[in-house]
Amino acid sequence: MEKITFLKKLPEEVVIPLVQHKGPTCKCLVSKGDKVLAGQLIGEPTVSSAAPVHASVSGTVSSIEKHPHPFGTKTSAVIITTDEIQQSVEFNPPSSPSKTQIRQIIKESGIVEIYGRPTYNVIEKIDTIILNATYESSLVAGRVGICTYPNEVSKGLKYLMEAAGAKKAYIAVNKNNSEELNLLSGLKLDSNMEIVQLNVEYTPGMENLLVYDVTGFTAQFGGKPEDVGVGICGVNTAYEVYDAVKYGRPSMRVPISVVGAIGGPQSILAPIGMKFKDVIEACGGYKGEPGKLIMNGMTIGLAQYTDEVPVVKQTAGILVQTKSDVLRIDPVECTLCARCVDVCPVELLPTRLAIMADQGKFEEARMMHVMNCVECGKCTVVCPSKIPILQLIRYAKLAIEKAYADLEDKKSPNVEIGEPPVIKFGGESEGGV
Amino acid sequence: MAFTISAPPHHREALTVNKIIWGKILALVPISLFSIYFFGLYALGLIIASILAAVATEFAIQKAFNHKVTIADGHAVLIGLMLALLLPPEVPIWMPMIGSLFAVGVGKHAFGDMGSYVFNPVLGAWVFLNLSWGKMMTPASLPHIGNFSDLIVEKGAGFLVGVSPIALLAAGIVLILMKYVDWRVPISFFVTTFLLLFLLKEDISYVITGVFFFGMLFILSDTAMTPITKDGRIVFGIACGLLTVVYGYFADYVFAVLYGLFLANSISPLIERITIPKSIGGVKK
Ligand code: SF4
Ligand code: SF4
Repeated sequence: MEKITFLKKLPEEVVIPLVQHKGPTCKCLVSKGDKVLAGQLIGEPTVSSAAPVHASVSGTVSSIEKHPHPFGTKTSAVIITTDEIQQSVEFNPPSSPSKTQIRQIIKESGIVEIYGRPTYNVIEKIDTIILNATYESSLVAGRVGICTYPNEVSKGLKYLMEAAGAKKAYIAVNKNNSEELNLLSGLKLDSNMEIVQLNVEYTPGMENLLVYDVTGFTAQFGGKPEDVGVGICGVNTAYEVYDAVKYGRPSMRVPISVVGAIGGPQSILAPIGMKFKDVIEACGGYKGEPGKLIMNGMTIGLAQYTDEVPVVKQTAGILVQTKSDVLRIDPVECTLCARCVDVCPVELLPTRLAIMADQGKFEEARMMHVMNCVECGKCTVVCPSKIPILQLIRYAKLAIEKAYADLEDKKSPNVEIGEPPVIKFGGESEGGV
Repeated sequence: MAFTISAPPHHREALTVNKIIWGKILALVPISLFSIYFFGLYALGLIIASILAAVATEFAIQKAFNHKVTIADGHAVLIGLMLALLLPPEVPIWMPMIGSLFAVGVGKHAFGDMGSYVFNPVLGAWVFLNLSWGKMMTPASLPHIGNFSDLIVEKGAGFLVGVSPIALLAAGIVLILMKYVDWRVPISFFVTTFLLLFLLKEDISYVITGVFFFGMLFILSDTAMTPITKDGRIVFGIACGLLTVVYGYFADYVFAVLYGLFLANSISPLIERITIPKSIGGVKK
């Protein structure tokens, strides 16, 4: 059974970015030369939709500088040289916390969902929670907590429900993960927690679809699951909530699946800020010549240009491909084989959208619901012609978003709001399908 | 250390267009061997002439227009082979060559390329040959599957493809099981046809011929001629079945299959347009 392993030795240095959620960077509370303890607050949020950042180890701040972030840009980060002997701040959790206290604890512990939103925000105004345990196999750490500490996960879920005032929780599991299903059905769950078996792997970005498939509610495009009263949390969130409420520990470590061309692939609990190269070292190092380093899975993961990037709260997987694995793809013409149509979870016609995007017919693509694409990448994986469908679709989506953003600015207050106006993009468009 | 940066997804399924096309060619090898065995070496001559003409046409066109030469993908070979199999064994050797020239030159390339052509090139060329040289294209005999052994070797075959219905059926089923060919169109075509035959009390021994299985599993697996929508493929199969039976009821079932599919081919875009699914996120609450 897949379990989480623990680190034998802390890295000599950690790099803790001051932004680990989708939103503005936190205000830095430490300066060069300061001593910090594990669990100490080092980044204070400036807005309520941001998550605080804590030191994951004890040590000395060696510098505060711009450092590569796994999401692509360079961001301000606190670099800490780890102490030989680890010390942490004293945690004193309340013994029987009230609803407001639990909420406060979740807020202050800085827990962030894999899709980038602080858990505190997610559970603010909902009455249903879905615990997503459906991730693909290269992101197994996102759900492996069920195998390693199932009781803690279910207790954490209970705290989450209490904090949110939720009446119902669903644990979404992939039908094919029979071990996890067995474990879960062995647990004593409360009557208002239900296990749902699904056939799809709901990767980050597919939240609205997950809500639809579990509850039947439709969040409007561009909306969030919370708009229909549903909050989506990860298995690891539940564990972290348990840890925070029970022991007072803030978000400092994340389980990561380290897979691919690696000496010893495993799911490992790594402190936030540990560099990818150190994680890989701890898992047996590179096997063969690495060609591609990917965070968060085969299908939606981000390719990294350096292994100096640190583990952040949203990290759930590190994948290494060798030079020879790296795809060299020569797309050929679409044969209309419709394989992409058959796999699309939101019933789009990806081949048509890709062609429209390629020809700059963005308005037509919008009429064909291109904005509903959840960017799961499945169409691109199955395409025998190896067309970069997802990339083309993203290109169209960006163009449409930009066009409508401009439009909003120019709108005068006395214009009636009705159907979205039709925008003409460059290039001729023939109408129809 | 240098890492490659690229957009996700970071893996692809191993199936490629080339594999699908060459897979289909391979699936047609048994029936080709049967027909050579049955009709003699002249049949081999027809097949070779047809393939060579198809490949040469593709090469010439792509060179002339400075396009990438794609004969290695096997598409021209497949077109040539399929066309040859749809001819009576008595036709002169120039017949498959003209046919392939038409199939590749007009059917495939004049309408764009793979995926964007409107009519299935093989069907188009076959109709063209029939309209131009109807007499020569008329088979000497019509197959009649009187008993089970006729399914294996049919002596009354009028076209090369008619010699062994079972060889085509088996090969086609393998293609479907390997997911090289989608099941929707062939199954819906098959079910519709037999339902109608049953209702009209037709004698199915004239229907389950090589041409029927060839049409169902090889012509209809040309994805460019079928709608891309899921429902559309089912509807398309029904339309094929309907047109085949209507034609066959008044004439014969060998020509019915080919003309039926040809007609259905022409309404395929329409079927696609009316079966576009509503995207899930597009449902208004
Ligand atoms: S990425 Fe492709 S398969 Fe996934 S939702 Fe978008 S169009 Fe559909
Ligand atoms: S899977 Fe690729 S080749 Fe097939 S229809 Fe979609 S885009 Fe075209």
